[in-house]
Amino acid sequence: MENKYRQIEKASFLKRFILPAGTALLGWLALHFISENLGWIENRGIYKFAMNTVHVALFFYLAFNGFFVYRAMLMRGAGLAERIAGSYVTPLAYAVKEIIRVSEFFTIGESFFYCLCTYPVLGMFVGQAGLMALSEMLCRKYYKKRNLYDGNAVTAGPLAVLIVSMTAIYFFFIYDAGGTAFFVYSELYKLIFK
Amino acid sequence: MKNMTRRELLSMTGKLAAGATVAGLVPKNLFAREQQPNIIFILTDDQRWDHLGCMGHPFLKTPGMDRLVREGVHFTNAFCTTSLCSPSRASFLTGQYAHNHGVKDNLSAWDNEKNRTFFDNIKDAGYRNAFIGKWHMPGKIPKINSVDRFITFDASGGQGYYYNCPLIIDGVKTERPGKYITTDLTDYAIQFIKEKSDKPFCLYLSHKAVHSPWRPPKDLDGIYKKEDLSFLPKEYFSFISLLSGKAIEGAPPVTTEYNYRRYCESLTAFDRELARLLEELDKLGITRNTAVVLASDNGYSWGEHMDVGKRDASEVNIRIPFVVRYPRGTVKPGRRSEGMALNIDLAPTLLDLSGAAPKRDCDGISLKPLLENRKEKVRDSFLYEYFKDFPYNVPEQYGVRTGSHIYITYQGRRKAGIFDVNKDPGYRNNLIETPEGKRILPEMKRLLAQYRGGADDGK
Repeated sequence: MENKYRQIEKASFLKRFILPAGTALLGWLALHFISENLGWIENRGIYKFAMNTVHVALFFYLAFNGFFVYRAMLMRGAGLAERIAGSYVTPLAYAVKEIIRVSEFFTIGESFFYCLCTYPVLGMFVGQAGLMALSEMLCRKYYKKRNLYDGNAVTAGPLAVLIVSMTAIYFFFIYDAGGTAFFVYSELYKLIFK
Repeated sequence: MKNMTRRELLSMTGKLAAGATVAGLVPKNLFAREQQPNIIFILTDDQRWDHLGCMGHPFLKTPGMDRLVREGVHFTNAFCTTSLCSPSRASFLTGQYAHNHGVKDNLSAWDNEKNRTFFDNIKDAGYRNAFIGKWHMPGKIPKINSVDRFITFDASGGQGYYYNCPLIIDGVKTERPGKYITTDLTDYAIQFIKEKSDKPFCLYLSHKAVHSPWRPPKDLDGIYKKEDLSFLPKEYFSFISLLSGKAIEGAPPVTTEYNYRRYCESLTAFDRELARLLEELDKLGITRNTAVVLASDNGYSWGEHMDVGKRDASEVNIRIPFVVRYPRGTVKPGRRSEGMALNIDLAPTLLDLSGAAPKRDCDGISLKPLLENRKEKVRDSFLYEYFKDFPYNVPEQYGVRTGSHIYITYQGRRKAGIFDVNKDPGYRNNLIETPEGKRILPEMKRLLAQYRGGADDGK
């Protein structure tokens, strides 16, 4: 794919991939660790505040991870494939953690299929795609404004990804409060495993 | 005074009796043979056992349910044998544990060839039957045997919608624009009980309320929005739905408080419809001879064990509301019965009350002796079963609940537990390694193996 960004130097692999993706991963691990270890707080008000804060932070961290990691990698000269792969490092780690957790009571096949459930894993993966597309278009706009990008900010590819992603999110979570999507998922499960 | 002839005496007695009956001075059934009662079973969804105004809830007002409690027998030790919609519903209908009727989770289908409901025996006893409301058992909606009127819904995988939920009325799908489902189902129920017939009726009214996603009717929307919720469990927090695998019950950014208030508002809507139905029985003059049973398919956790849901053997999940009001067949109405009552007891109880032939394959026991105050209890323990319900994050589990303890075994790596349900209803202290636990364990294992036909998964 032709690189239309001018004057963005390609940093080393460590700087353009490991650092942004790794920082995001470490951040998630730290938040996850904190969220699991707040039970010692005796004061009910403080406990509630801490639990709410950490879990909302965790949610937004996972949900919007792709938007920021993608941008950070782009600004360090990472190619499209690297940007996508790097943005999925934390969601993938989260998926692996979930697979290990649910394998306590599901078969290996079911544990992997669990990740296709709209919440939390598939929804997060589909959402990341849309956020990456949005991030791409906003970066283009930013650089175009500074005469550092040669093409159009909004093009068919990222726009289509964004629309598909948002439609899926609507179907997964908003339409019938996710009930219909969950029904479809259950029917798929029956087809494969029952 | 002139002496009356025998003919004149008989004629006058007849006229007096007819006049008194017309004037309402004599009960209509005085000269009739023992009347069969009408039966109304009302099933709510996910209603906690303690969510009735008369149970001391801080703000919930439920005059309809409170009236039933006041006029009936309130079983305060009532439980479901599987805390999940479909298996529990099948247990109510068949009187069997889930391992016997085969609806083990929300995905395993109801076998209409094999499973027989109490409707069959009731029909044979001369009743006209109606099933109105939520069927929600996996597989194609069957034609239930012995049911004369069948109104249900299949929208959203059988869960239905609170608003505009299309109904399948005797096999014909019918749009219901602008209708609120709790009211709509009650309208059909009232229509059924008002139908003129010389037969007694048996109505199974099964509501969507109060299953998620909670939506009260417009006039009740927000009535509890300012209520203090500090009574919710210590471990709960607003975004508990953000815990791994929990958001199926309510996606973010909706808070637990918001959901809980909507739950209570939807329950108030149900209660209003229940009160309307009871008033209708009064107007028809059939209250005395109608057995009304109210129960829920399972309980619900609102923060207990950091959970919002129902899928384990916690007290709040397995306890259900269970009230029977049957003025003609109850001794000392308005009392509480401490005897264990189960969802599987519904079928044998209704058959017993109606005079129908007993269902031979029932696991449950008739509660009639408790209604008549002839016994204090009909059992000392029961089997709890929870089968894997993919993708919910809960291991399969089997347990035995007695009056004082619960023994739970889990599939997978989780260790078995014994808890004192009276001293520790939150199941925080596992007694299995303690002297008390070790003393109880052999008997619990024996009971579990007995209930499960020899199988014991305890580790």
